[in-house]
Amino acid sequence: MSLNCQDAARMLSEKRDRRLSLRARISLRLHMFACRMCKVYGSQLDTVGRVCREAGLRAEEKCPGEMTDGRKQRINDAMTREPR
Amino acid sequence: MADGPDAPSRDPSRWVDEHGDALFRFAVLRVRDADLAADLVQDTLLSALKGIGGFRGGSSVRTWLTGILKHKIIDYYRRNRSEVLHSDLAPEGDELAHAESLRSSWKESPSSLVENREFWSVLTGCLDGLPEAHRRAFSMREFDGLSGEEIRKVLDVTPTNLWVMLHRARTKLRRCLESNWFEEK
Repeated sequence: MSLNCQDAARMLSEKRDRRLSLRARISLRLHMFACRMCKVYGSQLDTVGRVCREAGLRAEEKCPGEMTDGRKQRINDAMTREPR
Repeated sequence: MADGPDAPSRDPSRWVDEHGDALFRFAVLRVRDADLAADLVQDTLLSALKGIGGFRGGSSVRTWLTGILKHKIIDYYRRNRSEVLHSDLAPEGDELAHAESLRSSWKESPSSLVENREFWSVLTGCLDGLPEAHRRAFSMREFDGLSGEEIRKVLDVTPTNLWVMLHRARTKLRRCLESNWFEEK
């Protein structure tokens, strides 16, 4: 039943994507109880997940980058050519 | 078309000016390629133009356009499947060798991080360091919250492969954010 840190790290990722088996959840819980590093690791993965969700929602305003004027012009031209 | 406060945005000739950059930024976070992102925006606006009769004003024009763009990105992934290399699925041997250096949980709140321009350049730089297939899987999962099942169909991979890809993407991104952001500060 005992888990090493590598297994725990894998399971900490997987539990973000699917429901782990009862057995897996128990061994992970036991491991986390004893291992401070894996607890920190798990909470950092949570942060990565929450930051990325927020970034996904706010990218329209915040993600660096804009289209060049030339590129915008090409899109406008293509839209004008499009039969309505 | 009714003249509401929203009326200018419904005029397709103004879409590029009013929504172009926002749509571009939405796409470029996800596909990490400026030309491709601009192509996807163009594709989106042309489809929207053809389908404008279907827009009923239940949502804003922006939300409607973003929804179309989201589908265009997923469609692109589906039509241009990125090869998942064998090495991309090999178990990560050394990850927790770094465990000793994990100091504490990260305190900054996600909502304040996304207000910070420098954080964005670190985040996008870290995304650029992921293998293409991993980045696509991660992006659909974490930016857009798609289910594993949906992502598997788009990428055409087994459940186990998907979990390995996501695990490796998270591992690498966590480490990159740690060394370029959280420990820099």
